[in-house]
Order: sequence, then structure tokens, then C-alpha cells
Amino acid sequence: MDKTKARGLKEQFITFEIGTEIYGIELRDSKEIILPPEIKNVPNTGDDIIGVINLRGRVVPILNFKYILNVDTNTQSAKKNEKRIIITNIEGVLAGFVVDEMQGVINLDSDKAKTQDEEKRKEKHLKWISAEGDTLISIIDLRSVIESQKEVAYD
Amino acid sequence: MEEKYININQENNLDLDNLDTIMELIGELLINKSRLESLELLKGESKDILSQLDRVTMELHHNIMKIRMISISNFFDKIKDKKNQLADNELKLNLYDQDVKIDRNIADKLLKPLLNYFANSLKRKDLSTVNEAEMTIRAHKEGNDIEIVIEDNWSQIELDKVDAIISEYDVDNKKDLASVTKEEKLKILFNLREDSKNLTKDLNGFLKDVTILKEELKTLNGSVKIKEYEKRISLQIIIPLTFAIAQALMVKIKEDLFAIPVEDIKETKRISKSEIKKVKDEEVIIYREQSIPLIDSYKCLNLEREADILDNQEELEILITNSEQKMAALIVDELLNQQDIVFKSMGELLQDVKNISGATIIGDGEIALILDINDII
Repeated sequence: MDKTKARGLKEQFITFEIGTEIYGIELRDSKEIILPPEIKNVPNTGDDIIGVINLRGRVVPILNFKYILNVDTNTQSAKKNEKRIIITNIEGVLAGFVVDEMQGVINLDSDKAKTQDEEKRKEKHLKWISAEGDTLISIIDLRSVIESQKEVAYD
Repeated sequence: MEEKYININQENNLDLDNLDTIMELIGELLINKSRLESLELLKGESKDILSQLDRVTMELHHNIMKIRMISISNFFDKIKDKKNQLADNELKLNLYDQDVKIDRNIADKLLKPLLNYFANSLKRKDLSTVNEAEMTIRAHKEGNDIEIVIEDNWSQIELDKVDAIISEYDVDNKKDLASVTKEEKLKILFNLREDSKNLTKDLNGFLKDVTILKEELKTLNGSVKIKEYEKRISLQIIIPLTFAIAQALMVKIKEDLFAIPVEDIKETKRISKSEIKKVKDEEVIIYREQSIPLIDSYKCLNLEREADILDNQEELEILITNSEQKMAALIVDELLNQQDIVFKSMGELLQDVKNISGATIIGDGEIALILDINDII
């Protein structure tokens, strides 16, 4: 607890790989991390939806973050057994997404954020980018992802 | 002035979230019970235990459902309150509840949109054509749905005005308007209103109000229709009684399992290829001396067929849909069993998926999507 600065700038993030890049989300937005169960395809939806899963009796949509975040899909991660699904809860909206490999939980200081140009950041739903040593961690703006997904109508 | 809505449930001091959790747990209990049954391991005395379990779960479900239901007259009282609040003394308000009961959760979510519509509709009140403004709201049970009909004596539709709007905006739909029925015209108009937000020629704000109401009822799986009778409009709201357990027919489409509520099905049939006729490029079959359209489930779900079904099969599995006045025949790959399903929403992100109304979880934990027959037709 002491390590967290009194000013509260340091927050906890969980980090993971999608494609070859490392991403992070705020720890408090994640509900749980699960091994990928069978994903049911939902017809009449777009590339942004992989399908739905049965999470202990609840039907939860799985978003295709590779598509939503514009990750280069040619660089397929070879580590198939490391895939996990992170279930998030954003203001009561449950959703999940597949990550290629989990990294861990770290404290990051948003003051040290390196931001890309505004345009690119918005388009990719990224909040800010953190540099930890040599690695760049892109922090995903989950609220922006969920909000824009709500707008999508599949009629 | 800030609008004030009274929460129906607060008065009864009942925690709906808890009730929802209990409902979900009972749903899981039911699913696990049917898993146990499907194992067919149990014999003799253990079979008795299973039937006891069956009885207890059913009773549990039944009683929880009873707790969830409230009389719709509570609901109508709120409309009266609203009328008093608006201090509208000109209005004659007739309410007929016929002692219909409705799920608290649904009543709660329905209240605000309906009161909004009510207030807006009073604003449109035009006393130049009638002596006394009168509104009638009727509720009655219709299968697993509640139908609420709202009629007033000032919302009017002039059909020639409707024609003008349709021909101006609906460029793709160049139908001969003289041959289109009134009801269909209203339907086109309604869809137009949704498509083109810039539709300026609003029928006295009526369509706008209805669109808002429709939007708000989407999360409840409800629908809104407008009907016309002697130039007067009536609004028909259909909402499910409850998110309860329903009987559904399971079907297979492209190796995938789908559920169709039994109430949407008139009959299941097997037809031979020769029974399919072509009328104006549309495939139809003759059913009870009526020609009804033949709809391919693959098309509705945007699935690709590997080969033309008519080339490979002599016979087709179809089901006749039972949706309002319109009938249609839906082709599926395989008709399976009938079973109880618990309706589950796919969440806020997937509430508007075309032709799919929700999902359910079957015995082995697999998800089956529920087809929205009203949407398909």
C-alpha cells in the first residue's frame, strides 16, 4: 500500500499481449480472467463481435479487439495455449475480449504518459501510452470502446 | 420543472436486483436439473429424488414469479397521478386494466417512457376538431405478452399527407401507393421516420413521440405499432409479461442450435420440392388455401449455403410462423425437440441484432440463440 503515492497518480493496470503489442487496462475495470470457453457465433453482427460465451449462466458478448484496436492481424501470436479472455465491467455493461498472453499487474504513473498524436489515439481507443524501460504499454480506453460499441446497430 | 417519476417498486420495499439474482439462480438450477435427467443414470429410489427435485424447482420458480408480478392497475395509477400533476382538467381519461399482472421489473422500466409519451401526447392535444379531449388506455393479456392500446381523439392522420411524405422520402420504395393498404403505409412511414432523422414533415410530432417510445422499449423486447381507424390513430404497445421461462422448439441451422418460441409457431411440416411455387420471383407455398412466402433461415442469418437447397433435397423441413395476421414458412435444416428455455439478454451491446431476440443456455451449457420471428417476417 505504501508504494502507491499519496497523490494517487499511480494506478494498477493489468497488462497483456494482443498481436505483438502490449496493452493494458485499469485493474478495477476487469471482473475476471478466464480460459477461453466455446464462443458462440452470433449471425448478423459485424467484425467487431466474435460471439457470445456462457459465463456461469450469463450470456456475455466477446469483442474482437484485434479489429476494434486495429491490431495488425498478420502477426498471429503463436502461443495458442496462453490465450485468455478478460471480462470487463464498464458501468454495468459486461463484455469480454481475447488476449494472446497475459503479462501481469503493474503500477503505472499516468503523469509519465507518452501520448501519440491525438487523432491516432482517438481512432484506436487508446487513453495514453506508457513507456516502461524499452517496452511501450498502450492503455486501452475501455469506456470509449464500450460507448462506441453501444452505437453500433446490427439491423 | 424537474420531472418526477415514482418508482413502482420502492413502495413495496423490494430489492429487484436480489430478485433478479434469485431468478438467475433458479434458471441455473433448472438447467442443471435437466442435465441430471439427461444422464439417465438414476434408477429406482434415486429417480424418486429426481422427481422431488423437479417438483421443488418448479414450485420455487412459480412462487418467485408470483412475487415478481404486480397488478397493472398500480401502473395506471401513475398515469392518473401524472394527469393530476400536469393539472389537465380538459382530458377525459379512460383506463381499463382488466386485472392484468405484469413483472415488476418490466413495469418499472416501462413507466418512464409511457409517462413521457402520455405527457407529450397531451401537448399535441388539439381541441379545434373535438368537443372534449378523450384518451383511452387499455391493457390486456395476449399469450405471453401484454398489449397496451392507447387511443385518443385528437391524433389524426391524413392519408394524403402520408402519401406525400412517402413519395418524397422513400425513394427506393417506388410502390404504387394506391395499391398499398393504410396499415402498410403507416409502417413505411414509421420506418422512414427511423431511417431519416431529418424527416421534417412530422405529423404534429406524433411520429417523433412514437419513435422515442419505441427506442426506449427496445431494452424490454417490446414493440410499438401504429394503427389507423377512421383517420384516428391508435398506438399498440406489446411487451412481454415477464422474462420468464418459455417453451421453445429447438432447430438446427447450419450445424448450429437455435430456439424458436412455441407461441410463434403454428405448425411444423415437411414439404416436398414440388410444393414450392414461384409468384413474381418470390417463392411461396400453399398453406390452408393461402399462398404464403417461403423464407430461408440461412438468408435471415446471413449464412452461406454450400449448395442450393433445392438441388440437393427432395424434401424440406419448414415451420409455419404464427405472427399476427401474417404467415410465412421458414426453412430450417432440422426440427429437434421442444423444451423449456430461460430467456437471456445478450447484453446492451447486442440488443439490436437483426432477427435474433436473445439467447438461452441449454442443458450442457451450450448457448442457443433465439430467433425473432416477428423481425424475420
